[in-house]
Amino acid sequence: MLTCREVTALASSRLDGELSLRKRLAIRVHLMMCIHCRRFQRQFRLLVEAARRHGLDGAVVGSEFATRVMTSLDAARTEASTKPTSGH
Amino acid sequence: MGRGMADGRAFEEEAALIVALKAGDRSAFERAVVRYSPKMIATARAIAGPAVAEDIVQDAWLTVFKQIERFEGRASLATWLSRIVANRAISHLRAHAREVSPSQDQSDGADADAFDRTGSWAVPPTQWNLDSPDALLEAEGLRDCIEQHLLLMPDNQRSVLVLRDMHGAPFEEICNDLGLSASNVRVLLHRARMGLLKMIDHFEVSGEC
Repeated sequence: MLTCREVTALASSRLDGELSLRKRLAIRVHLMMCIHCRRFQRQFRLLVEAARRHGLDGAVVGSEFATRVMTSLDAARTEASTKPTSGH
Repeated sequence: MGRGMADGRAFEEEAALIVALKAGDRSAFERAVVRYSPKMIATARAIAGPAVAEDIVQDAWLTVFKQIERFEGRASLATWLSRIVANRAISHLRAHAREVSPSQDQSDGADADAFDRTGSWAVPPTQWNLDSPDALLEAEGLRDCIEQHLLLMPDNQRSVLVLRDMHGAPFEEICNDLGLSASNVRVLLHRARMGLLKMIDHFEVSGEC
């Protein structure tokens, strides 16, 4: 029988789908009997999903940043076009 | 079905954008910079910190400009761009001696006093009022706390968390990017998630970071 501590330590592997069927079943049996671990697993899943959604959001970027990037790309473009071709 | 059509349109738009980028079309670069930079800066900021994030992304765009011809379309453009940024951000950490090193601490990230000697909860998890991912992210002040927490996290934990949970990178790729073993990446990820969970739990109870 797994302890609460062991079930908690396996939370990431469980979420990432890396556990054997045997381990998954053992966790399921524990969760059926343990309200605290059920709550923990629910919160853990919630957190990882929130992190994923947070990652989908971008930073707020001012228009001056795009201008700065384009200026550096223009410089690179000019440099590339003025570079003598090989063999000359 | 509507979503499928929207996805199809987005795919076609991206394919057209990639063709234009490969042709060196300036306006295509301008569109791409405006469209993709927010996510790229978020990635750079999460890994290397806010002070250098914009510089890292600016450099990344130069790399894109020089290497777009080699882009084979195996991943989406957004994913390819994110990986360029992540690699640059990690290189920056290394160059500034904030070594992305294997974790010496192999513990499971749980509070020592959260469990009793038999391994049962001594301090069970508290009930959260925020019960959905969106509720978590929209809670007044919590998003700032998460950002703060990310910045204070050990570099290697943060890199793994950002690459895996925020960008969905495969474990194998994370191991390669960070030069860490598969088991170490998993330990770091679990510790990072546990740390974040503890922080949110504290926020739920106290309303503070």
